[in-house]
Amino acid sequence: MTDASSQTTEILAATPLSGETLSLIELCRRLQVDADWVTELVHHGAIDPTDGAVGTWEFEAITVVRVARAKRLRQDLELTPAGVAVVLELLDQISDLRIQLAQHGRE
Amino acid sequence: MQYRDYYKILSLERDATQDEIKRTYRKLVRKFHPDISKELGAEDKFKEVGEAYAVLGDIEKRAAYDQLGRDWQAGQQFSPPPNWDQGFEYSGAAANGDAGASSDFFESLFGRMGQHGDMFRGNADIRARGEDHHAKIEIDVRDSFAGVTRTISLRAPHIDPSGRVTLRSRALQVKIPKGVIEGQNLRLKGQGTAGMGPNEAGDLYLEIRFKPDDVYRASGADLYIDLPVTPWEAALGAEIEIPTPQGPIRMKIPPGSAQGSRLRIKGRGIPSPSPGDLFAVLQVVLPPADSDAARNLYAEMARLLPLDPRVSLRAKMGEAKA
Repeated sequence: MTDASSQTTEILAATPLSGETLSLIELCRRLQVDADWVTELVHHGAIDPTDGAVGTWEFEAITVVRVARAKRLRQDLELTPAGVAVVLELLDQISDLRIQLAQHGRE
Repeated sequence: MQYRDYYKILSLERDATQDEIKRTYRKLVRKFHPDISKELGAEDKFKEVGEAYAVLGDIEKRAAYDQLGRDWQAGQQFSPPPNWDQGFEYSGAAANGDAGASSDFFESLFGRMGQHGDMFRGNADIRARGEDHHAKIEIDVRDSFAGVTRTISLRAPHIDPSGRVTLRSRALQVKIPKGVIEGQNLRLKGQGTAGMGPNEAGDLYLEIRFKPDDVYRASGADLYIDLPVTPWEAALGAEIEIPTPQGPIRMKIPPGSAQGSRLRIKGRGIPSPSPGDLFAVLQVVLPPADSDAARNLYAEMARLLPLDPRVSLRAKMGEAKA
């Protein structure tokens, strides 16, 4: 049995998210959220399946991070799926603006 | 242990109504939510506000807290009086907040909040894989050029073999690969919460943030630098040296370049799987007119190079009027 509590100086590799995809069930299990709620997020355009009709949805690995954020927003701010979708949309816009801002200097 | 002034944390008077407390709490939670605020320290502030509300938002806890008296100052050394909460009945409603996020002060008064409730909520399935953790890590833009190894320290709830939940700090040495960009998430497999029984542990996700840099501005995988040039370098063209992540290179400024022109150096941005470009944004620096010779030169330019820089501005204003 490996004991996670032993102090280690091992260097761990942080790796970019790979191209693997997750099904709706895998996504829900990973985040301990309800499939209905995730489905609502999809219907509101807050997250996008890469492909597939309802029932065979596949999600990019990065969707885990986005849904985790959505879950925090729901818990902390008591947001409905529509509210979560608006907040995520605005956060996307802010991040696009930051990317553009960098092109123009700080003054 | 230090006394915490929960009213001060919410910027409220001690006679605030429950309604005011709730409104203020909601406002502050939006403001400092770590997913919304870019401010450094927002996360600590968020937890502090959550803890203040866990007490003041609950009439019973608030009454108990209030009877500690109003003479305490935030940060003052504090230990609860014996039987301090006698006569107050708790309905045991779940406190609002992260597991393990509460201060020593809070825990000495009300116990660890949300402990079991939070850890196991929605997680009753004994076959559950461990939970993922999400954290942000701030690195220098320049660390993305070659990669970097950093030590990060995380505080997370941990279930010991006897099933008790404890808060544990752990330090991880993490190798960040080269080519990462702002906002990108990296994964450390198995570094989240341990799984129940034989189950897989969760993963740790790290979101990359860049510290502001004096030279480079990152825009996705592209890098921007301001490149100061003289008016004659811009007008006549020149060959000058500029810094790039891979070391300085010499490059040609084409004749007739203008203020703000962008020179693109292909593939010299962040070395991502599809490498970004480096853009040098020309900043024309005017020589100061601080001597007779300089003033005479400017006067001569005015004579020899008549220029009306506001032609297009007037044209546009004309259009706007029509």
